[in-house]
Amino acid sequence: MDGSPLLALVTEIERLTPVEALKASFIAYPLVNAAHIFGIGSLVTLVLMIDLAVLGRLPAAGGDRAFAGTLRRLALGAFALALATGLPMFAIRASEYAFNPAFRLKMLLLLVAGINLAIFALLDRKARTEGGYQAAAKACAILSMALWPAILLCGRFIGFI
Amino acid sequence: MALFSRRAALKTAGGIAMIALMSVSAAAHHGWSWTEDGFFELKGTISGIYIGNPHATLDVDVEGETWRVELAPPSRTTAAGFTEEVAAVGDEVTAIGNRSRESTEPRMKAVRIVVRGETYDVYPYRVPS
Repeated sequence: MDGSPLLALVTEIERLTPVEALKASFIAYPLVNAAHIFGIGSLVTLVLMIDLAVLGRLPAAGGDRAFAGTLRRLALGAFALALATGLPMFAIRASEYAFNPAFRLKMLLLLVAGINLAIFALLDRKARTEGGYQAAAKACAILSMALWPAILLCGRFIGFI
Repeated sequence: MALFSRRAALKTAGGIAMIALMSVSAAAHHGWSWTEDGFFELKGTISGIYIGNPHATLDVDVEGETWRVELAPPSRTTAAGFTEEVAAVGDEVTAIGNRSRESTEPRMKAVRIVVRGETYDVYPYRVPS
């Protein structure tokens, strides 16, 4: 992944006109940055609530799968916001961030979290017929509770490494 | 009993928050906590200029070693007069500011830079008198 093809690509991204505008902006950048924080904060909160509900540790959920389903749609919305604001922030200095260890670890953990979600979705389909979550689904929830806060921490460290 | 467990939970949360804060401030490159108190002067050749969000930086070649010189956010840096027009790669530069507390890390945060005989104070209130 490292070497000139990646560097060439990220350098092209930096030269895009809207990216150049955001790079120099006084108001837009802090707004995008704030929206990113809002997206991440909402996402991590929702994820933790979903996972606690799956584990049966959220009394308000009452063991109802529909509750977790509703929150999951909100969480996907929050993820979309985080992605939509994260991409332009990455783009303004892509050649720097693409080689930043904290950023790379964050992307790796995001991939793991995505795979974890896919596995959970398959197990959730089974839970619909069996009426409850299997141990494997609960393991996914526990892993998720560790992954998302770790992703948040990695993101924060991008600017400090 | 309920009160006790809540208190224990708060204590645990407080402990985690403290550890997180300590580890973050130790590595922080925003602000000045990661720099030494005394002023430091770096002379070298500019090998890279970045003026943009979240903050501007210079890469400075000093006898074959590349230093990262952090400046202010772009609005403040350009308000000080330092723009992409006033300096170029290859120019000699003097940066005055605070270097990283980690002696092996070639990184500093500049309050003043001098290029082509012009002085730019990106953090005027911190400039040494």
